[in-house]
Parts: sequence; structure tokens; C-alpha cells
Amino acid sequence: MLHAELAHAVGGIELDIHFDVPAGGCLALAGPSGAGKSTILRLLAGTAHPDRGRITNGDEVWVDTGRAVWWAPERRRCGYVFQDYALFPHLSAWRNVAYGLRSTPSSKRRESALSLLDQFGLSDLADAKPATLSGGERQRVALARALAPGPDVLLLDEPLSALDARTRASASRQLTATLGSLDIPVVLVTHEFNEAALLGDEIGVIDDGRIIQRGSASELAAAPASAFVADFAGAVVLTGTARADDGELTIVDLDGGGIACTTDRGTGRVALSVYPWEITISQAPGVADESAQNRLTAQITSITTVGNRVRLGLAAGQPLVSEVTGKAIHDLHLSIGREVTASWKATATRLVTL
Amino acid sequence: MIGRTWFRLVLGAALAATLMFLVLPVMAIFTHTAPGELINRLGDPTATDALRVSLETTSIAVAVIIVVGTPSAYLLATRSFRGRAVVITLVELPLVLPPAVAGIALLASLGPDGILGGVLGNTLVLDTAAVIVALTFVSAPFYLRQAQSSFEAVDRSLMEASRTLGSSEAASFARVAVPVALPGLVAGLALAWARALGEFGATLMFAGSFRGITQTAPLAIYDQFATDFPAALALSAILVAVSAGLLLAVKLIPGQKTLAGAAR
Repeated sequence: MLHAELAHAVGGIELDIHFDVPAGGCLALAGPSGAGKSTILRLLAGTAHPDRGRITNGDEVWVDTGRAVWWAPERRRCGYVFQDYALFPHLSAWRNVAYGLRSTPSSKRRESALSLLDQFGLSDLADAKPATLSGGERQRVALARALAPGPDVLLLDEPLSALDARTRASASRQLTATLGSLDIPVVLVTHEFNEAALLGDEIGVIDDGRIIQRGSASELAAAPASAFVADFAGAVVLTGTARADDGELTIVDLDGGGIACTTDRGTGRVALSVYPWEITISQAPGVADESAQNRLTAQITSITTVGNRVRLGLAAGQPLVSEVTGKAIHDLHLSIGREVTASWKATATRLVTL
Repeated sequence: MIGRTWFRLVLGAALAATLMFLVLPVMAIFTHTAPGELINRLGDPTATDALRVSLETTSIAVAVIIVVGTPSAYLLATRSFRGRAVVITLVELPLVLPPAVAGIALLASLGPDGILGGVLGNTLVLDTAAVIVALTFVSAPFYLRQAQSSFEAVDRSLMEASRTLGSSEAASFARVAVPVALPGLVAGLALAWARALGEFGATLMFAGSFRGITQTAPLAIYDQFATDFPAALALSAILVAVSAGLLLAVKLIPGQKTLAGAAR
């Protein structure tokens, strides 16, 4: 269990952050650029000193400003994947990975580094210098390097944002698999809600130096604590498998049941995204007399007023969120537990290949 | 069209005049006296002694500058503290000091009657060590400036990555900061060496010009130009070759962009 309570002033922001991350858990701290997210990771890793605070990991007390406890970064055993990956430019890929293997006898270091590179599909590039690697390759070398010494905590700074859209899908799939196999606390920061939703078990939304809400992606989208979270949480994401093209529309079998169509193209594993305000609600069972192609039966799980809008959390095969007006709630007699039909247009549905 | 041609001619003529003026004197060193005669003169004991003294003193001065200057430059590049700007300015001051002033300054501080003269006794005066002190004083700032800007250019996250991977700051300095900054450090080194090799005024005033002890190649050239012009030419030719070699080395180091800032 990683425990942090930090108070720190940086660039005009007063950070006041408290959180716990259990072993095997991944907390994604999401917030706009310039919210001090990278500073939080620096404070955890020990490359920056908090003004006040306490950080513990298991029985170890890393920082306690009240008792003048301070562990240097090299003692904390934090794997750190930097935003620009920070690979050592003068060292080959395998020497980058072997850099932290100080307790391994030098004769075994190359072997250990090569086997890690192999796990990340990089064995052919062991002798390549970072400058000759692609963005996705650098990201994997950085991850292998951070994991090589067997860290007690893993920190990831915007792990996917430096990648182009095409590389991102495969990189996020690999990263999800890697994170899933780890038995240590993971903290990642990102300015993209979708990245946080994809990689984190839990998301903490940071605004004005504080975690203003913490929960799963669907919880945050369904019941945002503030308009900021509502806007930031953005689109609903549904995963599924695309059927072979039928010519006009891509039909996707959603995980957990149901189908959805989109005018975007794609096959295999895909993620669909749709904005909550594109999803309309009608009394169940609905009749197909409207232009919306996508219809799912769902149960209302939460009703949250956000400004002049109302967010409905919906339980279907996968959680859905709809944003409607207060008048609609009244006219349709919507209440928690009601079964309704959620519908939206295929043209409002975006597709990303996973 | 005519206007443009006219301007192009002026530009070309200006460059031709510049080249003539800068290259002709250097060319003359090699062409004034027959090459065979030049090589003969190098066998002269005055020349060999001067070259030996120059090689020894510049090597030791540069070694001292590397050992002390590299950590100093790293500190200036990576720490902010009160008075940092003042310290940097003081370190750079010898760059702009007239050589005669540097010589007087050394005499006033480390000379027999200098403020530290009592501590050092007469060990420094008229000794090879005095040459090394003078060379170090005038050429260290060239290295320090370049090394500081090279360390500043090392991405902070590289050092942070090294620390999180279990290396202390000292180990990170040796394993990451120095290798990454190396092209800049070597360039600074070449500049400092070239400056030390050409040092004249401060050495003459502080160490004197005694053959085989304090007489470096530039001092020997000055000593001989009135009495044995071909010998002075031969020594000059050697210095031109070495200086050109150092300049070429700096130019050939990849990724050097901060060179212009070094001699500012």
C-alpha cells in the first residue's frame, strides 16, 4: 500500500493531495495540463521535496516532513516512466534496461536485460541507440528499464501521449497487460480522461491542486461531482468486437451484450465512444420509429444534477451515461431503478481500433 | 538585375579581402623560409626545450582544469544558490582580463611579495610550476563556461531517471551527466588547451622566460625573432599546426552548438 499526503506549492498551484494505492492497484491521476501532475510523481519518486507531507510504502516511511524523514530517490525503488521516456542517449537499449540492475552480477546483466527486452518484443533492437528507435519502441524500452530492478512502486507520466494515434492503440494494449500482471502500487498521471479510463483501476480527477473526485471511469462519468469532472470525463467508452463490414455500417458486438453500429470503419477489437449528450432516453420498451440506429435497454442507476443538465448513470451490458434536461426527467418520470431505452445515432459514434 | 550583380560583386570582393588578410600571414609562416630549413631549425635545443616545456605545462594545466573545473561547472549548472550570478561572473573574469593585468594579478597574489607569497615561500617564482599557474588562470574560464552550458543542456529527467534506478547523485554524475555532456566538455577542453598553448603575457610576467624551465614556445618565438628569424618561424609553424588541429577537433565533434558562447 502506497500512502501519500502532500502539500506543495509549484508554479502558482497549491497542491494538496492525499491518496492510497493498494498493491496491484493502478490510480490514474487525471487533470488538465499544468495542474502539477508531474510534480506529484516527482514528489513520490523523491526528485522533489514536498513543502509538507508524508509518504509511506508498506512499512517504509519515505518522507515525513514533521519528523525530518527523507529517503533519497535511489533508496525508494520507484520505477519511473518519464513523459519523454528519458532514455540515456549514450547507451544502447539493453544498457538502458541494465542500468538499474546494480545487484545483478555484471556478467548476468546483459542476459537479464535481453530477456526483459524479449518480453517487450524488442530483442532485435538490443544494440540500438535510443535516437534510432521509434516512439513506441522507446516507450517499451523505458517501461522495461523501469521494471528491470523489480521496483516497489511504478510511476508513469503520460505514458501514451508522446505516441502517434496508430502506435497508441497497440501500446495501450501492451501497457494494460503489463500493468495487470504487476503486484505493486501503480500511479499514472495523464491529461486525457480516456487514457486514465483505459489504464487505471481508479481515476482521481485533479483540479486546482486537489483530487476533487475519485472513482472508476463509469462512476465519474455517471455521477460527476462537479461540472469540471463532467466535462473532463467526456465520452462514454464501450468496448466490443466489430463484425465483418456489411458495406454501409460497422456493426459491433458489445462486451456484456447488445450491439451498436457506427459509420466509422474497423474490425476486430474496438472501442466505441459517444458523448453523453448524444444519448437520448425513451420509455422502455422503445419502438424503432426514430433515426437512431443504436438502442440499448438499460436501468437508471444514478441521477446527478450538473449545472442546468442532469446526468443519468445507466446499467446496460456496460455502463452508459446520458445527459438530459431537468424537464425530461420530469416529463418521462425518470427515477433510479426505472428501465429505459437509451438510443443514439450511428453517425455520433466514433470507433477506435484496439 | 544590374543592382543585384553589383551587390554580389561587393560581397565577393569583401570576402576575398577578408580571406587574404587572415590567411596570408599564416601562409607566410610556411612559405617565407624553405621547408627543409624550417625542419633543420627544429633540431635547435632552444626549440626542442620550448616545445617540451609547452607540452608539459599545457598538459598539466589542462589536467588540473578538468579535475577541478568539471565538478565546479556541474555545481554551477545544476544548483541555484544566493550569489550564483556573482560567482559565474567572477569565474569568467579572466576571459576579458588583459594578459598584462593577469600577470600583475598573479604576482600580487602568488608572487614573492604577494598576499599568499609568505605561505608559498619562493617555490613558485621562476619555476615551471609558475607557468602552469599562469596557464591555468587564463585558460580555465574557457573550459568552465563551455562545461557549465553543456551540463545545463543535460535533460533533468535523465538525471532523475538515473536516481530512481538506484544511482546516487555522484554515480549519476559519472554515469549520465559526464557522458551526455562529453562532446561539449571536449570542445571546452580543446578551447582551453589552445588558449594555454598561446599564452604569452601572463607567463612572461609571472614565470619569466628561462630556457628549459619557463620558456614556452610563444616565449621562445619572441626571444628569437630578432636574432634567428627562421627558428622563430619553425616554432610558429608547429604552433599553427597544433592550433589548427585543435580547431578542427572542435569542429568535428558532433552536436556542438554552444561553441560560439564559449569565448563570449
